[in-house]
Amino acid sequence: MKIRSDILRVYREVHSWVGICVGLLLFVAFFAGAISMFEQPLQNLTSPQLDMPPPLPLSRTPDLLEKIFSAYPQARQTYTILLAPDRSIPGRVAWPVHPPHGHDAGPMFVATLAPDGALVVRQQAITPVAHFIDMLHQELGIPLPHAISRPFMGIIALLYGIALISGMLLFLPTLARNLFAFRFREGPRKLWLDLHNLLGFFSLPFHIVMALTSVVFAFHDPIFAVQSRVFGTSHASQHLPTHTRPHPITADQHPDAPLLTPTALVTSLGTQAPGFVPTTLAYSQGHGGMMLRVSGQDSRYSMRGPTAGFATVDPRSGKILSADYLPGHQKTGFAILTVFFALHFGSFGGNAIRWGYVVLGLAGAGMFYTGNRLWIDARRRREKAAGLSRDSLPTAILARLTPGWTAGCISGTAIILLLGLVKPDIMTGNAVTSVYYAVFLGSIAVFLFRPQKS
Amino acid sequence: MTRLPQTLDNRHWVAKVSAAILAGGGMTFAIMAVLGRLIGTNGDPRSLSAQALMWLTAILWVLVLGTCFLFPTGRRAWAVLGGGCVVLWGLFLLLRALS
Repeated sequence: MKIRSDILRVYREVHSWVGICVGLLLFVAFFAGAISMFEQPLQNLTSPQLDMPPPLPLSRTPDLLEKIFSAYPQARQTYTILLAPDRSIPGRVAWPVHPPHGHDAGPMFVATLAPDGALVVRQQAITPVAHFIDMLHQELGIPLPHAISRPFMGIIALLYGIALISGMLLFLPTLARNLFAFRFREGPRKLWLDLHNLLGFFSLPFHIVMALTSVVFAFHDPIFAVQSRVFGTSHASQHLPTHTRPHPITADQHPDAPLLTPTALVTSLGTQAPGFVPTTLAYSQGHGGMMLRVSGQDSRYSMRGPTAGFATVDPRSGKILSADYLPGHQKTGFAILTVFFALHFGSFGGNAIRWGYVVLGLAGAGMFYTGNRLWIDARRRREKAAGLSRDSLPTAILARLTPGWTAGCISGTAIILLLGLVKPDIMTGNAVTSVYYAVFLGSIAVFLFRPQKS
Repeated sequence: MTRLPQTLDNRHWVAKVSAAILAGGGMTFAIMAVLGRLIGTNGDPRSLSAQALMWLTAILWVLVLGTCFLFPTGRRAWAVLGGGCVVLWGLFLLLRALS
C-alpha cells in the first residue's frame, strides 16, 4: 500500500507529538487498569476480617430484615441482600451508613444473626487499596478534582484516538515488510520501533475499543444533555418507543402486597433466566414504590458492568420488568451496545478472559513506554546530528521522567498492595493516597536528580 | 525534480485541530440530531436509539479529529467542517419545521 510521503510526514509529526503528550498518562491508565481486572478479589485480600458470625442461610433472611428494620428504620429506604457474601461484605444484608447519592454508596453496615438469634451489625471495613488503583485507572493517575478529572480523561482519550489513527496510517505502508521484524542487532532504536509496532498492531482492536469507550465514558453526559435539548420537544414524545417507558409500573399495582422472600425470588429468576447467577438483590424505595435491581453473572454472554449484568425485577411478583441489561436476554440492539462495555471491562467469558485482559493491559502499557523511548531516541539523534555534545534540557528531562514515572507507578502500586495485604488496618484512604504518591514522586525525583553517567 | 502540486504540512495545525474540535464537534452533533429526527428518538438516555446515537457521535468525533490534518489549510478545514455544521443543523431545523 502506497501513501503520499507528505501525508506520512504530517502524520509522523502528529503521532509523535500526540504520543509524547499522552504516553505517560496512558501508561498509568493501562497498568492500573490491568490490575483492576481483579479489583474484587484484591479488595477481599486487602480487607481486614470482620469479627462476625458466618452469614445465616438465605431462607432466614426475612427474620434478619425484620430485626434490622426495627433497629435501623432508615435501612428500609435502601438495602441489599447478598446472595454470595465475601470477606469485604461478610453478612447477608447490607445498607449504606449515610443516605446514598450518585453511584458511590459510601460505607455500609453489614448485618447477620448470631446463633442465639441476636442481631449482629458491623460497619464494613474495606481497605481502599483496590478502589484507589481503580481510580488511578479512571483518572490516569492525576488526582484532579472530580469535576475536572472526567473531561480531562476524555480529552486524553480523544488524543489517544488521534494517536491510534496516525499510528495505523504510518505503519500500513511498511506492514508487510516490518510486521514480524525484530531487529535487536541494529541498535536500540530499531528494537524499540519493532516492539512498538508489534504491540500496536496485534492489540489494535483492543486499543480502538479502549479509546472509543473512554471517550464515551467521559462525554456521554454532555452528549445526552444535547440530545434531550434537541429531541426533548413535546411533539417528539409521540414517537416514544414502548420499551423506554419508566419501569416500575407493575410494581405499583399492589402496593400493600408483601415482598417476595429472597428464596422465592431466586427460584423465580432461575425459571425466567436460567443460567443467570444472581449475586445481589438491591432494594430501594423510589417514586413508584419499592424497586428491585438484581445483579449477577452469566459467563456465556457479555455483561454491561465490570463484574455483572442487571435486571429490574418486580419485588412482589418476581417478574423481570426490564431485561435491557440482562445477559442473554437483551434485545439485539442493547446486546450490541453491551458488547462495547464488555470489551472495555473484559466482562465476558469469565476468568480466562480477565487474565487475557491483564496481559493486554500490560502490553498496552509497554507500548506507551516504548513509544516514549522512541521519541527520546529520535530527538537524541537529531541533536547529535545538529552538533550538540549532550542532551538538550527537554530531552534530558523526558529521558529521566519516563523511567521515573513508570517505575514510580509500578512500585507505588506494588507497595500499597503489599501494605494492604500485611497491614489492612492502617491503610485508610489518606494513608493509601500518601504512600502511593510519596513512592511515585520519590521515584520521579530519584531519576531526575541522580548524577549523570559520564 | 517535480514538486507535488500541493504538499501537506502541519503549519496550520492549531486551526485544523480547533476546526475539528469546534466545527467538527458541531457537525457530528448535527449528524446525531438529523439521524435522531429521522428515526424519531425522544432522547431518553435509557432508550436504545439515544444510546446508539451517543456512541455514533463519539466515534464520528474521533474520526474527524484523526483526519483533520488532511485538510490542505486551516481555512479549508474551517470552511468544510463549519459549512457542514451549518448545513446539517439547517437540515435538522428544516426537518423539525416540516414535522
